[in-house]
Amino acid sequence: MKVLKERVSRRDFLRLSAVTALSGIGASALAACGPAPAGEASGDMAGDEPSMAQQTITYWDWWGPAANETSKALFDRLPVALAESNPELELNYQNVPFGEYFVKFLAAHAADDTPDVMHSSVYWGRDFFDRGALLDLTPSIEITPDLAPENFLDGALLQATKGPAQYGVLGEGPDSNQIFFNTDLFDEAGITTDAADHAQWGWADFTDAAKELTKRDGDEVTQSGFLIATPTAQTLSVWASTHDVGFYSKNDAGIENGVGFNEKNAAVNGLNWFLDMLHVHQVSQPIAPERQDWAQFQQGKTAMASSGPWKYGPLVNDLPDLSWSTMLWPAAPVDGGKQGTAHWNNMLVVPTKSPNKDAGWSFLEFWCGLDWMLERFAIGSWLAPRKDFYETPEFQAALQELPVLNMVPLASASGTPLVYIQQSALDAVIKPILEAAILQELETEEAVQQMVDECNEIMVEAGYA
Amino acid sequence: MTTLAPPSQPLHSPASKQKELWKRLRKTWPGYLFITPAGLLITVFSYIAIIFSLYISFHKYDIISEARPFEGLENYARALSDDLVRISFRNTFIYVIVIVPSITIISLMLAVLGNQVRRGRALFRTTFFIPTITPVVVTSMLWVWLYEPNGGINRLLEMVNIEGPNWLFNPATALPAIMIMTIWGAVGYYMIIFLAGLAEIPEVFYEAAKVDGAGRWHTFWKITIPLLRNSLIFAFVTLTIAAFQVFTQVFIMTQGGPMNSTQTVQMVVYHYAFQRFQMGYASAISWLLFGVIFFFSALQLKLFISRELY
Repeated sequence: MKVLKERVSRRDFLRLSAVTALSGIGASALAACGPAPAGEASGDMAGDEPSMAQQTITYWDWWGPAANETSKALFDRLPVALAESNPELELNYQNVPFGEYFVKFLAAHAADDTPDVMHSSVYWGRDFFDRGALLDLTPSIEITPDLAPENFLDGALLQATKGPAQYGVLGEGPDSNQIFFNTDLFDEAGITTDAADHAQWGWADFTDAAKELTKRDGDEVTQSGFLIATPTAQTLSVWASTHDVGFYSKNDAGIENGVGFNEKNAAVNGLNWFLDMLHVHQVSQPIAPERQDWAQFQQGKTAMASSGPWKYGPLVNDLPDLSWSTMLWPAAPVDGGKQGTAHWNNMLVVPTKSPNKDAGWSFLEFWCGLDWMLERFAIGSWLAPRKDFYETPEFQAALQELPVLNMVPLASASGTPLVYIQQSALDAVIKPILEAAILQELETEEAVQQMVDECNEIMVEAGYA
Repeated sequence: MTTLAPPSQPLHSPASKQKELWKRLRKTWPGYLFITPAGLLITVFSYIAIIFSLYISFHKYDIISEARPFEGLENYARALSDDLVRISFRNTFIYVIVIVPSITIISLMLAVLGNQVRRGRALFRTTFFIPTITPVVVTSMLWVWLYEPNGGINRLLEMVNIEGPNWLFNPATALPAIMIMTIWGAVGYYMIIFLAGLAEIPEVFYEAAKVDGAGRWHTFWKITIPLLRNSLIFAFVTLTIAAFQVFTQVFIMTQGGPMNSTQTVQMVVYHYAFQRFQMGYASAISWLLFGVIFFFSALQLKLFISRELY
């Protein structure tokens, strides 16, 4: 046997390594730059029968299996349920974290690499639509009776439409801002826990309750009556709702033309109310960016805190011993003041650069249909924005066990839509001004006027004059 | 009579130069091949991106819209009159002015101290270096808890009868709070740089100074500092560049608040680019920041670098 004894020199070795490495990198780069492989056809008839061809559908969502066991169960079930409903669709699910979603979509749009269909927050939906990045779905909705607007909760579609155009179909929700309260602490303080009584409350009643529920050790608040956070655009929506006005003003055609959150002096009144509770009645621990409001509620360190229906499930499952319920925000002390909140419904949308719009629409039909909504409810108690969902035996049975579920459609009907045009930009200008007011560096009226002026400037820049 | 005969072949003729070049290339081409991937990546993801950002800074550009009109210097003019940009530059300058000398001085002191430690030297260095290898996001979140009104720092202050402020929700203390956290996180790295510099100083200088009767202070100023100059220049220039680009800790700890008191230039760039779709304007602000960093880096190098060798 002949043994090769020739030594490879160091230089030859380097040359060989360099060529090999570069070939590998070149091949990978070429593969990465090339078009994505098309969905593979399956079955013998695939070539001849386009309608039966297997199509891969790319779907983006910020919810993902890694969030918790319930989400994992949902996303394990999703491809199976989709295959049962639409055998020709194969799911390519991509989880994009919420915090990066906006930027990732911008990058994907610029690179012509958008998903076929995606989950969109109300925060971005309108802005993307205004810039031509989302399809107007109205023609498809018109020929799909199951997704007709009248099948969804009243008012729920406001953030998915612009005039006659509808760019999103509601795929989750309805979400809303509600005041969670600890019923044990209410009972201890002798405050009613009856929902009918709360429905009659005004701001003064709420403040009185918060005062009763506050406990102190010297100057330090050891149990907050109500935890006041730095107000945001969402808070402005809540204050507007309790005055029966909206966050945006609208023209005769129903198109937004500026901000309306201070109509009836709603923002001035709301800010003064918060300042009184914070500085005069001192019902809350000091505002601090790191304060863990929800943890304090769970630990019984605050009697009331604001959050949303997405906390129902975790409270029921993780803290079965905690006695709690929710209420809407009390009516503002003005003519026409009413119980209110901010509500929103995130949606499914089809990007204009979607590689497969028809498949995207098919997935959207599946996701927003009653069957999948009921599966979601069975798996993780997720509610639905469809009217027919609330008439199902499944929901009625759950309502018997957890009556607070009734607050969800009520909030949707009573609230004003949460800020949904230029949310980030508006919040960015609103935040420092409200901070100045909270820190008493700026008079309330002056602060609100400054907010209105700056917000209207942003609305004009965005084409809403 | 002697004559100088012309050489038959010029010493540096183009032909011989070319031959020399080929000879060298035959030897070195694997090296070029090895650096090609890195060069390509830097070109695509840095140089092209930088040039593109300069291009879009002269345009109205929001990524999505097809219309991207040329606006000339309008974005730059707008930046110069924008209150938010002005506030952010002011905050950033304050941050740089405090951070750069503070970190340099503290890390130099630690290095000198660490150099003298005989027992537990590794422990000393590790203790101060750990914050450097911990991600800024993590340390920022830890410090957010420490800065709570009822958090660790205020509890410590309470023990000496000082009522601590609401650190991150007070415009007077929010930026200093971020600075303290940054200094804590960075001194370990620069301490190591200075320790390496100190190790390079020959012992003979100190022995000579001792023989001449020089005190510790005199030795420090006349020997240690001059011989550490290269390390000091490195620390000053890199710290200045990094401090002008502060973002992560502000984003995590205060989001620029309260009342824009911690708003920095990078935060404002992020705000305009990713919250207001104004990529062109954000690029213009970035280029203004680049100009400022370039000016100060050049100034530092001009002031500190001399041809005198030690």
